[in-house]
Amino acid sequence: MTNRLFSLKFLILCFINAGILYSQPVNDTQVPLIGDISDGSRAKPIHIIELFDADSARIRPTDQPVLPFSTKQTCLPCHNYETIRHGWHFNANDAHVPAGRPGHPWILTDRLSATQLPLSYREWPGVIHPNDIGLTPWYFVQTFGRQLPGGGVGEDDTSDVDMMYRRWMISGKLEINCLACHDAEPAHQQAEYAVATRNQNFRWAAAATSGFAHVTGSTKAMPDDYDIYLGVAKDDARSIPPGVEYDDHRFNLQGKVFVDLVRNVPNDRCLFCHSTKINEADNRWRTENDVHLASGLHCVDCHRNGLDHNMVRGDNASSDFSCEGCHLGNDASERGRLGAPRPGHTGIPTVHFDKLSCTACHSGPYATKRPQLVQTSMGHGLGTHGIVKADTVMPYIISPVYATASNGKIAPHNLVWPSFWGFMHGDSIQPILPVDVQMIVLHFIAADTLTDSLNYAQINSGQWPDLSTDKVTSILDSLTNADFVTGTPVFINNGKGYRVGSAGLKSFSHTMTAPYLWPIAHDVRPAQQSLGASSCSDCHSLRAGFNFGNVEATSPIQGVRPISLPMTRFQNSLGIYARLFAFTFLFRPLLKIFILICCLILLSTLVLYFFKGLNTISTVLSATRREGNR
Amino acid sequence: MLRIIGIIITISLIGWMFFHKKEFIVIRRWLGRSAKTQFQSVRSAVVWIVAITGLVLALTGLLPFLLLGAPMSGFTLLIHVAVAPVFIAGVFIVSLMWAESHRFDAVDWETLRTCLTRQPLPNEHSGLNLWRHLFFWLMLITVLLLGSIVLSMYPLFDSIGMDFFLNLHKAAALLITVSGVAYAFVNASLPNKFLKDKYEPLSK
Repeated sequence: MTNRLFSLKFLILCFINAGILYSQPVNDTQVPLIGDISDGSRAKPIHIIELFDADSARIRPTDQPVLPFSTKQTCLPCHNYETIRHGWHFNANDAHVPAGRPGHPWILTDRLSATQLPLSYREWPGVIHPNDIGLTPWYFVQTFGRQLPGGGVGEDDTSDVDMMYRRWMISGKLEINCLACHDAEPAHQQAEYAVATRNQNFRWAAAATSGFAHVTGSTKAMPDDYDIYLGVAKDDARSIPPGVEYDDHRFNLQGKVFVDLVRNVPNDRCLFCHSTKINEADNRWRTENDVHLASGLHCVDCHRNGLDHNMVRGDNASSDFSCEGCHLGNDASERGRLGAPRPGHTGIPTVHFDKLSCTACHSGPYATKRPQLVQTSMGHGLGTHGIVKADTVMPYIISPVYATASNGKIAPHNLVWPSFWGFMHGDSIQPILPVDVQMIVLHFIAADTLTDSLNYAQINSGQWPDLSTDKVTSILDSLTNADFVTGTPVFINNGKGYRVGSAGLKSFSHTMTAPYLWPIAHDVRPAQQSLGASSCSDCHSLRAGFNFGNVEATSPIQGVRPISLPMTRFQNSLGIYARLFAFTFLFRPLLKIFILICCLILLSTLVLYFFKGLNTISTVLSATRREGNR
Repeated sequence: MLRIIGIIITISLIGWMFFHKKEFIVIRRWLGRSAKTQFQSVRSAVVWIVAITGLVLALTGLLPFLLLGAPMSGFTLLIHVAVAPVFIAGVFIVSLMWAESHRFDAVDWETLRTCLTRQPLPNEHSGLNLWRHLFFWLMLITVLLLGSIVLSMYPLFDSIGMDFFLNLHKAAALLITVSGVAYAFVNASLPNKFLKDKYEPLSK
């Protein structure tokens, strides 16, 4: 009986325990951990922490083999990684996340095959999904890992599991690199991240950037059966295996390391991935900085985020953290934020605010008749080692293009014309990866790539090679016989498609030939340098780039005239209307004088007859009074 | 480019008109008339110009706002801007020509007094005549219409001021349109004889 009672009690206890265990949130996305909850102190939280590797084992610099620290496992005790990994910087490949307004795409660039192809996991109109061209997460991370913050596609080792299982096992996942943003250590070297991802050292990438670890070797050179725990055989003279060395002095007696992590991300961390260089600008020392940064603000003062790391993108005008939110205040408070001056917009008709975004007048390179070529961190890998620094380097990003944004307002945009080889199947065009087409292209331009040729110089300076129409025709003919081509080979370039017809190379139009544009908001110019600050003719003049600039495509095909689109085409307005409207501004000074004179005379007439009227009333009243007296 | 083409066309037109002026029968006839008749025809031409341009301005200005709830833009705005100077010139001339004949006079005062004391009007048309005068002067609110728009063309006022002037322009435009229609209606209701008799002393 006692035994039976004991058994029953034991069973009940087991059920209760099981219930408690199941009701415990395990890595729940909703539960903030100790480091996620602020106690109210504005002082910088000091991170003297233990380092853990990807297997949750504590790292000591004397370990053999010594493994790179895992940001996920190291930060996990105090910060909810699961919540953070859904943030804007990491969720591009999450199909459930709304795409939001178009942003900077990843641009697959290959000089030899004259390829520049805007890609994105987000469903922005005009971009191509990497999966659609066979660019698996594995290759995507290697290609663009230089400016990836980790997480998202870097942790997606399931999409190409069949082909790349062994490689993923060796390289490890590209976890969210918390240091990429939050490391304030002066010795932090983000450029090493690019080297690490290029060498497939994904699990070593975060350590490579830190100031207390040094990464050597390359996973790329290791065979598929390489074991990171066993290393290579001592007599194997092949390439250096990936490894990490820690600075012993940085570990304290408890084996903990001081990592200079900050809540407010330093500007340099943001600018590594979000810089823009204007090619035709004067020397760098003469160029301006964003007015907000020059005033002492930080990027994150506006681009804030909560624990979920969903950054404020600044495109929601009703948000507190938008141009309007800080400078005008929202409905609830008209006091604005951060001491932002309230703009007077003296003399600017209010219809401008309905039709233009704030950035139209205040942001980006100054409007010119011919928009300039710019280079961006994400497009050109600015800040990484070994890039070509020439102004003419691919991809060709044109800025500013004043186009109607998704909110219906005109805003400055960056633009890239797609250029790629592909094949047409029915009405759809399937791009071909540069790696597949490179050898064919090289076959036809081989003679041009000799050291004394013009093309050699061009390709070395980052440009695409010059291609004659005959060469394009020959390449397209060769592609017809390629086994990966299942349709009519085409070359998309210069805003057109080219295919071989009976009479040679023939151009055609297609939706995929359209340029991809994304709005820009930086660098913000001060009020005195904004469009319209000097006069209406900043925009409403036939010489103004805002309405009358021409957006030209560049083409490697010799003898083909580059396409040139008027700016009004991007603003959904008619060029003739813009010209006529600008034409009226020639007469505006005269009109103003004329109206002022008319006003003055009309006013004088009114005043004159007002007094005449008074005189009449006075006369009538006097007459009435006299009649009354009689 | 457009400017050069415009100048060439204008000069050509003026030159052609200069060398072919005798062929303009209408102008020749008009030139052959007396000064008084010429003035009358100019006066009626100006009135028609004001009426037509005013109608165009009202349509282009008010219709987009009333129908679409949006400010005018595109070619509507261009037409509005192009027609406005002609209207302004017309109003300017009309105001100078008609101000004297639309003065409030003793008859209007009597009419007003009679109305206020609820006595029968001495003349069935005198009430309409008072309204006619009133609507004419209300139409000269055009000064507000012009003032609001010309002031907003100078960098003097901030967004709040610009918004105020735009609203003032809209309100003045609405008032002028209503006054114009009412004036035309009242004018049409009054017999010519009444107008002639009444203004006989003025024309002497």
